[in-house]
Amino acid sequence: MKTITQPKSKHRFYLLLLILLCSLHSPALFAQQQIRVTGTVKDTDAPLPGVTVWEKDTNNGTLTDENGKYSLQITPGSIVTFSFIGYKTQTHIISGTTLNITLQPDEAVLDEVVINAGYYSVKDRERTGSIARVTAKDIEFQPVVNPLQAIQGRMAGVNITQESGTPGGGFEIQIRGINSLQRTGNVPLYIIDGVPINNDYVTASLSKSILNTGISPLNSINPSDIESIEILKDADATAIYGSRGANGVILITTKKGKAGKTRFTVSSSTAFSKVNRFMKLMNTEQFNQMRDEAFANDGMTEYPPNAYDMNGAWDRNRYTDWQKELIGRTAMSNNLSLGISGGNEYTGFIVSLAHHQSTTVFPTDKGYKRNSASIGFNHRSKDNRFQLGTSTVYSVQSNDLPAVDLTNPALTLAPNAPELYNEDGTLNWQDGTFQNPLAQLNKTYGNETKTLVLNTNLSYNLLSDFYLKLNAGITNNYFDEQVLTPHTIVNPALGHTSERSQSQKSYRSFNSYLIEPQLEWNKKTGVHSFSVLMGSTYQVSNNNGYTLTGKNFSSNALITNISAAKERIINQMNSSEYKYAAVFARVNYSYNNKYIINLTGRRDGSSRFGNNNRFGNFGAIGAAWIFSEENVLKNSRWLSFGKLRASYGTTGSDNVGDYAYLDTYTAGGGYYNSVFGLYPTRLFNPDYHWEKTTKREVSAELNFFHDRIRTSTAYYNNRSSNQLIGLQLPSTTGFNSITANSPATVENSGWEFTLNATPLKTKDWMWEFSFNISFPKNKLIAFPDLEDSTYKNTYVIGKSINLVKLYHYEGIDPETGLYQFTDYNEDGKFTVDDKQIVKELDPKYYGGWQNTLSYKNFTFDFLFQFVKQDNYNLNANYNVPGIALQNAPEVMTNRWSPDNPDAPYGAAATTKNSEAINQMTPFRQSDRTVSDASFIRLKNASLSYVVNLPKAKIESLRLYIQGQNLLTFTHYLGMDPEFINLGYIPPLRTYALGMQLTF
Amino acid sequence: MKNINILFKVYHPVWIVLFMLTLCSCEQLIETDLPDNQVTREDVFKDMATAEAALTNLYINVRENPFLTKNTNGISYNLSLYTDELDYFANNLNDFYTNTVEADHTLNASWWDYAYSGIYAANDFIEGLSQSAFIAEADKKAFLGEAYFIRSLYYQYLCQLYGDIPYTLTTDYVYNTAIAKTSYAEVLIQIEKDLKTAVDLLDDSYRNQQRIYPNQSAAKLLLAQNYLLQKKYEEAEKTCLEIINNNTYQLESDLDKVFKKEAKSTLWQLSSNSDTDNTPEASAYIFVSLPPPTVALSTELLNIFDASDKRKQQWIKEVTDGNLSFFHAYKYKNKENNTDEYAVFFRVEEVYFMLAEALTYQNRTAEAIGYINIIRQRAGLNPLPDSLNQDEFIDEILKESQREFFTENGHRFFDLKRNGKLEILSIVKPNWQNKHQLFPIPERQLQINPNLQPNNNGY
Repeated sequence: MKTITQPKSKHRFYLLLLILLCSLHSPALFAQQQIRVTGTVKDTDAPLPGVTVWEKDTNNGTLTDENGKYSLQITPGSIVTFSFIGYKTQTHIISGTTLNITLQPDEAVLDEVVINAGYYSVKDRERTGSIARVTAKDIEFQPVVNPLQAIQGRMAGVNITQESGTPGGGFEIQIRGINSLQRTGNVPLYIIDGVPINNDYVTASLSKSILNTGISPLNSINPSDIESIEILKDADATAIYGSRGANGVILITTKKGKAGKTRFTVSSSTAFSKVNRFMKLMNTEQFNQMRDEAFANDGMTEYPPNAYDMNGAWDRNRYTDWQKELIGRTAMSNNLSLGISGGNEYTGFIVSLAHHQSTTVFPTDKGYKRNSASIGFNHRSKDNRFQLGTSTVYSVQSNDLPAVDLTNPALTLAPNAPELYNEDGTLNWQDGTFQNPLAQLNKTYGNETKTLVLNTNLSYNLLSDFYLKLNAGITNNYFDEQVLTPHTIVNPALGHTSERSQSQKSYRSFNSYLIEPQLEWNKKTGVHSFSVLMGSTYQVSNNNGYTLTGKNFSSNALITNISAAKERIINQMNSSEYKYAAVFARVNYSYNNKYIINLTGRRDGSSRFGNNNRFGNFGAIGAAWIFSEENVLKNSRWLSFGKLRASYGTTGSDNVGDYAYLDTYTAGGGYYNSVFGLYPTRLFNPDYHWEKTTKREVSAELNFFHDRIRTSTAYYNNRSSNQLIGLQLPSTTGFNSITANSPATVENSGWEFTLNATPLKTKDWMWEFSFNISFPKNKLIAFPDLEDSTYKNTYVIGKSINLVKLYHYEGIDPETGLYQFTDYNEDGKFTVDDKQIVKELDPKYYGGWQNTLSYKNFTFDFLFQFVKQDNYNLNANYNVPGIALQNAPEVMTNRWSPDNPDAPYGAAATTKNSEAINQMTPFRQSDRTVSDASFIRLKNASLSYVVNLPKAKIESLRLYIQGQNLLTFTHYLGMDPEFINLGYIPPLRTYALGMQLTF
Repeated sequence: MKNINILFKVYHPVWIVLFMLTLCSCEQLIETDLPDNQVTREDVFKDMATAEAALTNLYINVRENPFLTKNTNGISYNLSLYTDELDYFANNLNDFYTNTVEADHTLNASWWDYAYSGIYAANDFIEGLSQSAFIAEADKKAFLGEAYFIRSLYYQYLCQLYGDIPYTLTTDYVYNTAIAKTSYAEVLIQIEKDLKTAVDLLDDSYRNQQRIYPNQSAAKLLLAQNYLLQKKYEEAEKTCLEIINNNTYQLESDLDKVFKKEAKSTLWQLSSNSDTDNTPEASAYIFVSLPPPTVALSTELLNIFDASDKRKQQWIKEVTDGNLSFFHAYKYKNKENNTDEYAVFFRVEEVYFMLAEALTYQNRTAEAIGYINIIRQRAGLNPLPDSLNQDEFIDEILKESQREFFTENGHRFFDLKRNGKLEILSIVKPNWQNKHQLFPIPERQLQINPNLQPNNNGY
């Protein structure tokens, strides 16, 4: 007790001493009647280096060397364990001085699979929550920029859509459907090695016309650095993330150093990508016929002055396949990486350096580049009490692209449009009659992203069952974008000079830090085991940014440098701060490894709410019953594992942006008489509060025949209410929306099935497959006063919130060639009330089927992805046949004429025919524009050959060919059924060759 | 046991830290500062400098946002296409040119959106400044007057384009969400009230000598427009005369000076974002080679000019390739390096036209002809004969107005409309229909606020 009075410095001394004592040991202390045991540890084939040889319940141990040999001083009669990851641990009582061991591979994989659940990890068999997992083997060799691309179709309940085939773009990811009426409110929480990463810059403004709606924050990570991706879905798994778990949580864990010899891995791959399928467009003959017909139909005998395609300004009979010219290139990408990993029983490290570059399908050599480094270090003290893990992911990405996606011009340019270049190599404007699409290539978009994610994990075994933990992280994102608009992109007839050239640059940085001290208590007494975790989170994020514009350059050569502009404008400077604090806890109790109950809870505070609404409570309960452990079934020959689990709880979201509760003015917008403007920032609402999603799930997991067949079935039902949305408002309010809690209650329910099987397993042959399918159902179940709300014409109770209301297309009037629609209220015009056709655009079901076949050293792997859905088709994108200098799909050759009154497309017409033009308004909003967009896609196929050459000191050499999006089976009317918005490059078909050498 | 005790004590500080982190006041932990670029509304109206910045925003809205802007997104440019002033040459379709703007039209929707966001900003400014206890009443006057002027400007154009419209003076979003339409006539009455307030609040001297902030006369001009629309011709006459008799304003005898910054005829012009910005009109209309890249003056417009008309010589430029000739508006000359032009919003010539119109509708055509002759004289044309009757004179005014104001502020459309002559457009515009006198209320707005239904006739 006297120690209490000791001065503080002594505490530290003891602490140090303690740590030293823990981590060092002196063999001399144990030098009593010792013998030396030696031997070799092997598996069925070869010696195993790095096997832990340990005297039980002591600090005495060693590792096997390169040849599997070990040597250990030991007291005779003591117990020694031999353990190595992936093998069954063996225990022997020492009697002699030589002991050779053959370790058996551990086939009871399920027991060993440990799932990362964020703040804690859990053995797969004891898991009470719904967590989907994809591991390195399915990710690392794929020819993709973004890991999300590699996991498409692999997980039940996770629907991922690529937004653009241009490298460096974004993905839309929906975990168990959309909760929020606001499409951008459905973003999951991304966590890399325990550190939440900012996804705000996905809405970067300058990239919109080339990269669609956003840039995925996961582009910053090299897919082959990833050890596993876990997606947390149900309440049990996500409630511990409380306020941020409503849309699911994506946990990314990078690879860690492992015990064993120092291992060098060199990988390289090259990939070739092309647009999967071109649309069938009219050729010149068909196009000219359509145009002529249009003029004839409107009784025009002379071509108007701006009908350049017909009136002689252009060569009427030229033909160019614009898809081939503008989006027909083969995009090349290269990957090169070097990995070094190694360590011993106590300390491990991994270093991975990688370079990726890819070009686009556009006629330019520029493209996307990423250099990344990932460094991991982990250590534990010899007494196993202290553990340290750090990981650092750093990457620099750059993207040089045309500022505008050329898909639209490729699909609409007249087939007889003139050459792109003059003979002297300059852009051809055909005397100012031709809006050359390549001019857009002179307008460039570029960005550079630097991302640092740094994480440190400390754990100390405080008392016998107590662990003190600290998780800390820093993220640093630096993002700059530049759009250069030289005057040469406009028709020279406008007489512009470089004084009209413009350069725009925007810088943004996002920095955050995170501290999460935690205390864990694990206790096992007899059949009872407890695991309790308490912790807190404190996170601070700062965003800063500014946008500059330079105009009026003395030469375009200076355009990249805004300081060279005669006119320089600071458009905007902004900063914002986000703070977040929480306490959380988890209590897990397991009885006899059979009955498991898991309670999680969290109290969250966020600076995104007004003073009265800052805190929210979230929690969940999960339970599992491993019924295969019951005596009746324990020795069942066919059932090897059976578990029922259920969970119920609430999660939330504070995904509303910062400061939305404040009534402020913002500086920006420009100058007037050199005075800077202040504009009203928003309609403010001081009262909005936490959104809550209640999630329920029941699930059964059954394995048969020694786990050769593994199944899981889950039913979930999530209800979101009070969702934070920009409540839609009419413009008469001065804005389009106000941040508020939505009155709607949205239900996402559905079934998910997975089946994994190993139908064939012999010495040389192995066949494994996994199949998953999800049947999601989205439903608006309540919306008080919907009839009086601004959503009256948007939503229907009982239907999905992802719906469109459309006019009903009836056909073509055989007399006039005009489209006919149903005028439900018979008022003679087409208004909102006539939009009676409701189409839901959610997938009806989706999934994937993966097969792995291996024979000796060859492995053949393929994955089919399938989605059943409706979506907009090409009719949404085209106008009246022949109305302008715009090409049309070949299907429009079958159009109305007096001789062809039953044609599917209307009569050709010119701009003189306003009836023809006006009919397109209801047409584009009719059920003709939405049709089946289901597809089955051979998402991935790979053939690899792995050879071990121990004599050449080569641990393994892998050679592989990979294909991505190889085949697509679809009835879709349009270019590609996978898209968020039309008019962007669809996902590309890729062939890749690669090798990986490990030594 | 002893070991455990030591551990406990040694780690005492750690426990405390842990305790602190978990239990200390979360309230404080999550306090954040306002971002650098935002000011609370309360503070904005605490001093003149920030209040002026908020007022500045109203002008930026007018200059930049689709609707009142003079660039290709605004009503000025698009109404020229919509009527018979411009021909369209680009490869794509232009719904204004073909008279096929329907309720789902994007730019038409932007007009509506930005007009109301401009009105909101003006309403918020008026509310905030009026209630401010920190700014002296005398200092408020000019600022408030300008805000009333801008609000009226939006409403006056809105009701001419859309007819019956929602009219709101509040920023209360609950009220504005379900607001119904006010009749065209009632809107005009309300605007009249607002403009009278503006006239009272504003001085006749300019806040800035470049005439970039509206003064009392600018408000009067808008008020005179309002009287004409209401057919209150006596009031219109009186108001016009007040401006014409104000010797701050004089017709520039040299037509090349009318659109220069220092023109004596200007009542109100828009300052540019930065010193060398060229005017949006110069960007929109000028071209240097053939064929015209986007728009050129229409044959119909060119045909109404006499060869001797100085406006044809000085405000129109011919571009020829030897064979063909096309013409562009050349009121604003500086395509590059602009130092002496601002976009003129109102000039005194318009007052002469309004006065003539007010007089002729009071059956004082002979008197009215005199005012038009002043304009004709400056253009080097012979005066109109005094013998014209009202109908003939109206036709002359419409032609003269087009010669004077082509490609400015949608004059052609509004003049024809006010005088009930829009149907003459059907001669040159094959798709012209009666419904085109009004634009459709954007479909999305009708969907989210059904109180705005039905849409204008024919849409």
